[in-house]
Amino acid sequence: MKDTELIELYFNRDERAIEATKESYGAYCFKVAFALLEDRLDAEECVLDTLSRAWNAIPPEKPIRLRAYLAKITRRLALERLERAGRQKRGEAQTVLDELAEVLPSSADTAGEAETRELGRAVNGFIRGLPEREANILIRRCFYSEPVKQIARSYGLNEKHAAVILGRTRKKLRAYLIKEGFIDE
Amino acid sequence: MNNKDLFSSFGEIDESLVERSERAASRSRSRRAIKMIAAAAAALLIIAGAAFGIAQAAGANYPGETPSAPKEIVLPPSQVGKKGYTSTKSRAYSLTSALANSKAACIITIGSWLSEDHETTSTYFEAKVDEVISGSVPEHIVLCQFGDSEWTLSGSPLFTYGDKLLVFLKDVNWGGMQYENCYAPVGVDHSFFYIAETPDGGRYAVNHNCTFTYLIEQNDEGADFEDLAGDKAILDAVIDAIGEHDAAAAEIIATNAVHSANSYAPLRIYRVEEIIDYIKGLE
Repeated sequence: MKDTELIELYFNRDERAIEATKESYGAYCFKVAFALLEDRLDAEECVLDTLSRAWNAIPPEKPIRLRAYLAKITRRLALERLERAGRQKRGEAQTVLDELAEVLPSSADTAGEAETRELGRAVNGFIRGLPEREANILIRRCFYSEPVKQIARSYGLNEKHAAVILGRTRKKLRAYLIKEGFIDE
Repeated sequence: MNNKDLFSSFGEIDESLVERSERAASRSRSRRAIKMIAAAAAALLIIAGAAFGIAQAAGANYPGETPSAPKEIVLPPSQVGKKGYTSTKSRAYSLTSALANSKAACIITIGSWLSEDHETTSTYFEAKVDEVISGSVPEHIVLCQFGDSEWTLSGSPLFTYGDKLLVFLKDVNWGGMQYENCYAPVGVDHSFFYIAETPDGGRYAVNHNCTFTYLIEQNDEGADFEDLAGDKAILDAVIDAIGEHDAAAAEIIATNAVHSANSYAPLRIYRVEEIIDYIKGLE
């Protein structure tokens, strides 16, 4: 089913929308959730929560890119699930977090929701200004928590090269956030 | 504002950017898939001509062998534990990352239960190495499993006498009992296969909690093993073969098989030889 038809089902409050979304994007959302949770049952529950969240949000929201829209909901819910359970992020997500400590230290105070959203806008602006390949690699790493090896494979690079690109991009991000006033120099 | 906030803020990026990163990755993957198919076809030709030599040194009293001087079999006091499963999680691996983090990949047979250490929550078993796939490891080892008779990791029972496993072994570095040649499985409860040897001579690998097979499908390039879980005769034979000596593991496998239709990480059954070939190809 095409995305436009799916959205139409949501707007008509037709419950088939949930099943159809699950069929089209369930496995994809599971992959996004699993990358953070590394647990099959938790990830499956997270997909169900995503479907329920989408049902409640559409309408009024009318996503143009349903796949990415669902991925964002899933990622947010998976992170919330980790926080709620008081669990440490594990595996690749923890490695990504450690890498991001080069940009913003882990010891600093946690930001409020508004500040995080503001930071999100800044990160968005930063990514838009990057060359396409660097932007894509950063998103694969920091949004999807994909292993560097896999990213390298996806973009036809060797692992070291991908790691170097990521390292340089993080340095640029830090400089950008300093310039935008998010970090003191 | 800290690194966690920054990690969360990546969830706010434009959907168009998220989608673009996927499109670019999938374009590149398609190009590489064509190259991979050609390489796999060549590799298969070579493999078809090769014969496997399985080292079968005479060991004492392991399942499937005729003991010259039988000794008492010791089973674990409890496979699941009075306190049941815990929600503690362990790092999950694919074949490539499990191999990279291990000293050896091999097929082992669990022997008698040796001891448990509640302080480090570890249980120790005798084990015989039937086949070394990669790396090097002595023929007789002690396998240290995380979990004890009081509690076990979510979804996984303790091993028991007669279990045949395809495992990736690493050194034990968290203290506990001191045994010579003591190893632990990489990925604790996730990243190993139970091996079922069926009466018709088939040798099948099944990951009881389906996490390992899911990550293999996601991350191990070229690991396109034929899934036999849909063949009811094979599924039943595998469950029966494992259930003969390990009812707890067989029950989990049977339950996950029933739920497979509604799961994004369904139960898979692979031929052991296909996995061995793949691991050898990673070296």
